[in-house]
Amino acid sequence: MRDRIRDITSKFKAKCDYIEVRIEEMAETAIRFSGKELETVSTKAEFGGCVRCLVNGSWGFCSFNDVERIEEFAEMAVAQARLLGQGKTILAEVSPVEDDVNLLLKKDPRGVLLDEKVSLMKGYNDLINGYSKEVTSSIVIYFDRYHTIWFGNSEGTNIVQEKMDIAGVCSAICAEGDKTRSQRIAFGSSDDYSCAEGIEEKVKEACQNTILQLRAPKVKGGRYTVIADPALTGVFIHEAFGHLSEGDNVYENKKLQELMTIGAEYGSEKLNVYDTGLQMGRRGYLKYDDEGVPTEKTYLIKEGRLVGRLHSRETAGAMGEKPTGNARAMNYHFAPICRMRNTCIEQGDVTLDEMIKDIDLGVYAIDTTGGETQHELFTFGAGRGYMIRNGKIAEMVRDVTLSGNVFATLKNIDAIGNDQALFDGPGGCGKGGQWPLPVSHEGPHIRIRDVIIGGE
Amino acid sequence: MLDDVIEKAQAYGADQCEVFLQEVVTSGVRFQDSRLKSVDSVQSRGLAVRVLADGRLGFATASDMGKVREIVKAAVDSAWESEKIGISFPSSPRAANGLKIEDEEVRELQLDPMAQHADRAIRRINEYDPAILAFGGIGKGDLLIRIVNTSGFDFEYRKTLLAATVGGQLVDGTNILYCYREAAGTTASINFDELTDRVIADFEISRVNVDIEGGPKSVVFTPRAAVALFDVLKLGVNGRNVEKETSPIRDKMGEKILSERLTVIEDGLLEEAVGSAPFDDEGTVLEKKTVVDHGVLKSFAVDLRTAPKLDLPPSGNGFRFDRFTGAQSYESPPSPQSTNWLLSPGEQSYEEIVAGIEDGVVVDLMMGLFTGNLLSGDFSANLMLAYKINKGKVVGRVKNAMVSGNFYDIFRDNVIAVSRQTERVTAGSTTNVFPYLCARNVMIST
Repeated sequence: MRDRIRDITSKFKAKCDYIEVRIEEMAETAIRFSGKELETVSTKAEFGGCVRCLVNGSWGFCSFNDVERIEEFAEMAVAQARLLGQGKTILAEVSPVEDDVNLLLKKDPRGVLLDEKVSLMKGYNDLINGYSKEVTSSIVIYFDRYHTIWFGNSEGTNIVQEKMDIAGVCSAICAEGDKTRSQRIAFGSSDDYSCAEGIEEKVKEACQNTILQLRAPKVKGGRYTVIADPALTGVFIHEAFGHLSEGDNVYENKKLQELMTIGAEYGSEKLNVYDTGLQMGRRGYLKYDDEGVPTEKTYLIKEGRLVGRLHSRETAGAMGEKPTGNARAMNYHFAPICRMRNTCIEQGDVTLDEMIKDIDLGVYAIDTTGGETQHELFTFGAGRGYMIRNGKIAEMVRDVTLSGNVFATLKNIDAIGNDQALFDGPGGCGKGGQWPLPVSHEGPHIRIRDVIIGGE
Repeated sequence: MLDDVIEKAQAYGADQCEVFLQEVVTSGVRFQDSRLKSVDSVQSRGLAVRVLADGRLGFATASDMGKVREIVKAAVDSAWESEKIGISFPSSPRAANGLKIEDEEVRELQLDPMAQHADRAIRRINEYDPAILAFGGIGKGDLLIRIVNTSGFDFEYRKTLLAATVGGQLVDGTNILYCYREAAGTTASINFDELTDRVIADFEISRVNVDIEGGPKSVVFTPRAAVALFDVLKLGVNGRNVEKETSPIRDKMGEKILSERLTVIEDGLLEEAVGSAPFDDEGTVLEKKTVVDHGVLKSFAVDLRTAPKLDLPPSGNGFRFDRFTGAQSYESPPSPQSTNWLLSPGEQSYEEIVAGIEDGVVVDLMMGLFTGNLLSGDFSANLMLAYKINKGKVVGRVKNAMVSGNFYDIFRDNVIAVSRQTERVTAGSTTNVFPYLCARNVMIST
């Protein structure tokens, strides 16, 4: 396959400014329990590829399953790029890489029989359905995936990367009359089946929290001082700032560039934010992105000021900045675009107790149901919350969804915890129709003033 | 080749087998920052195998045709892990006569004219205001679905698709305005100029930001906002949620769940709709049926698997939709999914409805709806694009605010008007025809 890719890129090199080929093989095993029933055990075998080429600043992209006809598709991609190309694009320079990235697994899911995987998940599912009469249903999902990705381009890069991705979720559901509540525990890893094992206590905790949610009142809408737990902090910074940092938002947008000049103040001196692909074993781990660029730890904010952004070679080239290895594609059906890996607020020195003690009325928001962003506006959901009253954690509340504006909310972070933690689950990030791309969420507890919470 | 799959499955011990083949060819142009940036094309082909062995269901998928033998074996092996369920694959469907979901004009549409439409949209937006950066895309698709099973079913259909997005982004200081419109259908009937006109009209009314005080207000949900909220009802009537007893309306059949002003028809045969097809992804024929009649719940959406559990006939709602993107995909096992929904229009015009509101909000685009507890109907969303109504007039854009409530409370007890205008809104793999809906006492938080 490496030679085939080399042949294609050399053959078409003269017909365009740049060409790359990516071929992907993927095998998946998935298990889904719903209620007491084992709903699906499935196997997937994917094989396909894509060619992307650049002519005078415009891209032609062609994806396909019939890998035998790759040359024909390369012709198509070149013709497509030629159709538009009128300008000039500079790809940031990177040194060509030849590499073989092999899996280095702790516990390999391939060494575990399907029977054993099913019975592990059945154990959790039975635990939920037998927890108490209030817990009426469940969803337990498990998957493991193996990818081999061959990548080569007209500049001499030729890489084979093996990747493994395992994740799942155990959700407890309580339905009582017209009330339905659910809480979950998620797991995920890129090198270890053990992440799925021995989580019984956490599953029980999810059951207990679901029951408590049945009785919890809806949060009252308004502006609050909010403490986000590490899982929610991870999603918060992903939505609030990660997406805005993606180079494709700004590289040809002068006005947005003015707002996002390097050195611009976004938070207090205590605020440091980075995105990293270097954490081996996490779902956001990545050695090379889908342009063959090595990933790195990229600081986005240092001491409150903008210091970097997440680039593809095109966006870095246009802005005269360094590529950061953030060009990622969901799979061979898609072209790579600027994406995050694990975006994190670096931990500070405040304890949770210190954060809570001087809040008269606030919300302690825990875990996450995801988030969404559109430029400066963002929103993110907590799994559950507690009111904070007179410096103490008080009653549990439900339906805690928070909103902010990047130009105000980051400056309103006034305490950063000393308890950074990382979370992996089965979901992922969505952008440009590519969803769910594996990312990790990490952060410490943080306190944010003046956050809008929707509610009664 | 599909017969070969079935033979292999039987050789491995399957009593029944079904093969679902999907072939998709798409192409399109994409523009951003007021510039045509790429031409993309996709040729994809994959198949899904379901087997029944001793009444147990197994499932596997492949785009790797070299692995078909392994996949069939995997499907049979996975069946032995599963529990017994009493289903069988359907035999022949009645053909849906005259269903128009194919258009030669779409098939013949070349990339050049698509690029010209895109160029024209960019030019028109820039003529309106050169500071706006236009973005969007125009794309077409050609789909083939074929299902073969051991009950003698062997049918296929083709569908063409044309879709367009036109939008713009305006940055003014730290205020960013982002407006877009989408259109999609199975025929070449998209009016690109009209789409661009609507984007320009959105900009025209969104330029001024106005303050608003939080509290319960009369809210007009535009058709696309209403379609997004009616995902709650789609989850509520989903046979799987009914069967697992997690749907809040699981035992409300024949009861009033929405305002008597609201009637929801599901039409899997709606002309030119992206969700229309002669049969669902399990071979059950699609038809038109009432979901909610003047507020009263009339039907659930079931697939082959959930139908017997609820003692219902399969309703033509067994679809293979990707649970994240909502796109039809052979990679997902079938599950109950609603197709095209039509919400019946009311008497007043949108303009009359707005004119009758003293202090309210028009909600057009919401963000983060999916993070709420949608199954129970509880939602809380950021107002991505919304307008303040003051004394019967739309006076400007409202931002940094949230709308929240319970879907069932709002649309059962608080509907005060339904517009006579309706719009086609494509969401996921369905086309929905919805009016503007106005409800009172909807909470706005600021």
